[in-house]
Amino acid sequence: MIYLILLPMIAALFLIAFVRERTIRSSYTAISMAFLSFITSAAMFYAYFSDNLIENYSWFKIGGYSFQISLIANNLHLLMAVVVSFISLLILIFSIFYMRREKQKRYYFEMSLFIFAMLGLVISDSLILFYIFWELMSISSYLLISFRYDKKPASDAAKKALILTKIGDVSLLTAIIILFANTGTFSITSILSSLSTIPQIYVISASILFVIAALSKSAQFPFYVWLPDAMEAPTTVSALLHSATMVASGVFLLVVLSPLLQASGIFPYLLTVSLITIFISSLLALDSVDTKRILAYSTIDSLAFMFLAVATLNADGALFYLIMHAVFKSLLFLLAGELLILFGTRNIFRLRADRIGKPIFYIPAFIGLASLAGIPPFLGFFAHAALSYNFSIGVELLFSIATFLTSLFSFRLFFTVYRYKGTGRVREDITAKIPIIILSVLSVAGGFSLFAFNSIIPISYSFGLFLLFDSIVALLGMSAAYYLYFNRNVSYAWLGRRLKSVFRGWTYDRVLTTIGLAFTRFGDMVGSFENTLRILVDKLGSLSLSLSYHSRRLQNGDLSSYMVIFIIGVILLMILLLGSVKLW
Amino acid sequence: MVDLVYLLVPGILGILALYLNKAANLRIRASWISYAAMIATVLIFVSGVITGFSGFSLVISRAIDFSILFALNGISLPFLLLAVLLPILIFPSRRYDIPEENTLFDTMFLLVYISLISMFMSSNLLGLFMFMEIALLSAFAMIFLWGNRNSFSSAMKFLIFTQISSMLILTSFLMIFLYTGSFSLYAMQSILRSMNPAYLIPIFSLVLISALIKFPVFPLHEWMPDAYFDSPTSITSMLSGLFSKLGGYVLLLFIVFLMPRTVSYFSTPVMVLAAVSAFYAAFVALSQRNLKMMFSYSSMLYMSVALLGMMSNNPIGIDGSIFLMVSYGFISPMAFTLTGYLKSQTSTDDMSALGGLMRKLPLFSLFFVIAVFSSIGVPGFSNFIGEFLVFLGAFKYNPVFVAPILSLIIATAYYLYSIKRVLFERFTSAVKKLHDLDAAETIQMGVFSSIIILLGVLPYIIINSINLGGI
Repeated sequence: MIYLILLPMIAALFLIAFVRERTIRSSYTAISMAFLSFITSAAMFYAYFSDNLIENYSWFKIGGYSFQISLIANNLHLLMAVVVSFISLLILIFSIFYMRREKQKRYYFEMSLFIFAMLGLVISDSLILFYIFWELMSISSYLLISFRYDKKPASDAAKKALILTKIGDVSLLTAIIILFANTGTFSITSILSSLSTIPQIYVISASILFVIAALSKSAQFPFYVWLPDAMEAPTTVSALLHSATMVASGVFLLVVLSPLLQASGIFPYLLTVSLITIFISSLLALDSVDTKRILAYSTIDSLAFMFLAVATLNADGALFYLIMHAVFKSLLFLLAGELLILFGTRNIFRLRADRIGKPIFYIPAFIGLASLAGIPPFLGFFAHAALSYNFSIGVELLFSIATFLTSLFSFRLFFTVYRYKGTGRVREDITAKIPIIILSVLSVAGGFSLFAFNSIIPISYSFGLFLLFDSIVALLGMSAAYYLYFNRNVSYAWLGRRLKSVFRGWTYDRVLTTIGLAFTRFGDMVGSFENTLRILVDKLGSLSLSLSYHSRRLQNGDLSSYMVIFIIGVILLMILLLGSVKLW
Repeated sequence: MVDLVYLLVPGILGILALYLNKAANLRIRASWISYAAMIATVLIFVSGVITGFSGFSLVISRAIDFSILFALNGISLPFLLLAVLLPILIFPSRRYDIPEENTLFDTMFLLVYISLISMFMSSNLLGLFMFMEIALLSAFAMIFLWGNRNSFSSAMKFLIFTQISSMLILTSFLMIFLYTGSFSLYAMQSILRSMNPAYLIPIFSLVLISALIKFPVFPLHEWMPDAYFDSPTSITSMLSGLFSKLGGYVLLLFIVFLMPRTVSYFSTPVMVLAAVSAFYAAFVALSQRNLKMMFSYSSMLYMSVALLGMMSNNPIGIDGSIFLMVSYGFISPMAFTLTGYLKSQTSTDDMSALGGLMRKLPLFSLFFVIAVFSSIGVPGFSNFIGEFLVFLGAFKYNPVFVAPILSLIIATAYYLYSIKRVLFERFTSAVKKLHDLDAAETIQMGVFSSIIILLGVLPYIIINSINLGGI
């Protein structure tokens, strides 16, 4: 099983050690290794189907404690591995088109590092190994966001992202410490099977910390501000890390640990937080004018949907949504990246080239956005069926409002960008089109996999009255977006404006910046206290010097003579000691 | 079997050779002699690790039980590894601020080298004290001889603080001698362990205060920023890499072997102090705009964390603190060496005057990023294991003491600030012509990074060499 994660690691090491800059070889190395990873994970998925295999490796021992790392092969983890390696492969292929003018070696090294970390994360059964890969993902995300490091927004965004996710990393590490101190093992399966032996207070505190970790990694309220800024990264990075895989690892963590969280009774709070996140993010998406930022807010929105499902004891529904989301969201990001490369802007009102309105552009975009909005029969519709299985009536109502908003901002994007009829010529690039076509086909047809999914992981879904209502609401959102945004050249329709005025006081980002600044100020205060202390110590020194001025006349104050006296003293002492030996 | 005293032979021969070279005007480059002596020591050390070490004893005075007694105890091997290996990696940084041919510097460096090795091998407390003093006094001389303009006052401050610390520790050794009639760790261990732990509180508190000065820990750290800042790069690296571990090593001897039951009287207050110190150092580091100052306070942060681990007085915490001390003992010299290189290139280590170096100095940037990531505890680098074990140990002592883990978030903030200011964004240095690391510096940094990664991936190299069972 370890070979699965070794492949991308070999690619990363090979890239950093041997491959020279500005050669095509780096992309081929990374892609071939990602392809091999995909084949391996698919083969493993096939080989270990309905199996539950755990591989243990002993790392080191202290006292009676054994620090073990273990990998797990079962349907859940290997399915995730297949999805991750598949999406990675497609995005790396797209990168040939997207990154051809950039630094190849660094990019493919960091992407391979990320794939290594993500694959390791989804197949690790030991919490410490989980943490290791979790943190490595943070680092590769930091490196990739700061890919264009000489631009200030990129360097700021990278720092912000890593500090905010570091809060989650530290929480995760603390939670692991709590569980290890109580159970003496890192193995998730053993911890979950011995839940009843852990004192309730530790179950609760560990759950809170796990949830904080997941919220920060998945960019949920109150941590979400790093994700829109992280859109400074190349779009392929946004597609892979900041929508399809890395940010979803927070959800994956909670899915894996859901029995623990259930025992702690934290789910009502998680439910509240995800509802808050859903409304904030969809309103902010409605307010943005940047394709990638809209998609970033929609990612936050979709991740909150998954947390909603986890909080309503429907972890498998969350997982299904996670996988479907990875498909259609990476499709949308790739489309945004293609538009950025071809037309040079991310602003939805400036994307006015007459070539955009061609079927080759708008059909995949429609498929992706319709999936996002949950319109039947696209992917999102089926995902909603799995997601909403356990919703109570109140959550159902709130969720349908969220569906409306999601549909509204999705089609706002669609009707604003693609409203012109296309006539001009556009350069086609096979490496850009293949991933988009594959993902579009999956987004149309992949939803039916819900019925087969049950044989992989037991899942409940309902195509009841609520889903009908939900899809009607989604269609309503689409029509509202058509009415509001199609054929209108104003930068904001009345709804957008009204919402903007309601949320004009919305300065959460600024609040966080202020908190950060407060910390810096506090640091400055401590720093100036430290300086005062230093001056005080110096003063104390000179005071004692002036006090000893009179007694100093005996000696000449020359340091070297002090040292001479000291050495003579030591020698005399030695002689005395040696003498005393003889006398004894 | 390799006799422990053999570890000193190359160093002593090296000092003699340096003297002969100078006196007889042989025109051999002084640094070559030093390298040869240190590499020979490493080879002896490696062969000793493979075949096993045997003890050495030379009685100087039976009356006061003063002898040169070399033997390994359960915790000395990791520190010995640091003392044998680290100076070789630090020595090349002499090029940044020491004149090319300077036999005195090389002699004193070798003197520090052998005295630190002897100190970590000494099983006689008086011998241990003697070697520690030689090392500290040499360090004092080196600070004021080769430091910058303010180095005399900094060196004096360093001397006063460390001498107070040494006096306290000597007093405690003498008190032990009064109780046990011996300075030998073996002889005193059984006697001290059979005594009522409450009687040992005065002795332990003297050792503790002495160690707190040497760490350094708030509020006894005032010698540290000046001494680190005003010293030449190589000496700053030695101070943060090795000298800050002396107090920790002596304290660990007392915690693990001599007075394990007395520690429980001190654990809680000292751990609170360590936590305060960690946050204090983190916040001060956050306010620094000078790279060298920032790394100095960062070193104080990690030493406070190490103190937290050893005071938790359980195997995980103690192993973690030893691991963290060794690991950060490699990381912080690496950071200081990079700072020294930066200053030699751009003639400043003020972060507000730097920027955009990643484009100009890719190799430097790679190693800078490695140093930063290993400091903030990224898995795969050695510090992660140390931090994790320390906080696990602290949690096992009392769940409250896992709280200082939050200081690592502040550490992340200032380290990322340094990356952003030094490597990212626009290139702003006044000096336009920069040279990236040359072959020697690349090798130096490469060895540093490989050790850090090796310890991070295979932590049992250190952990299996620790034996808390007995001396």
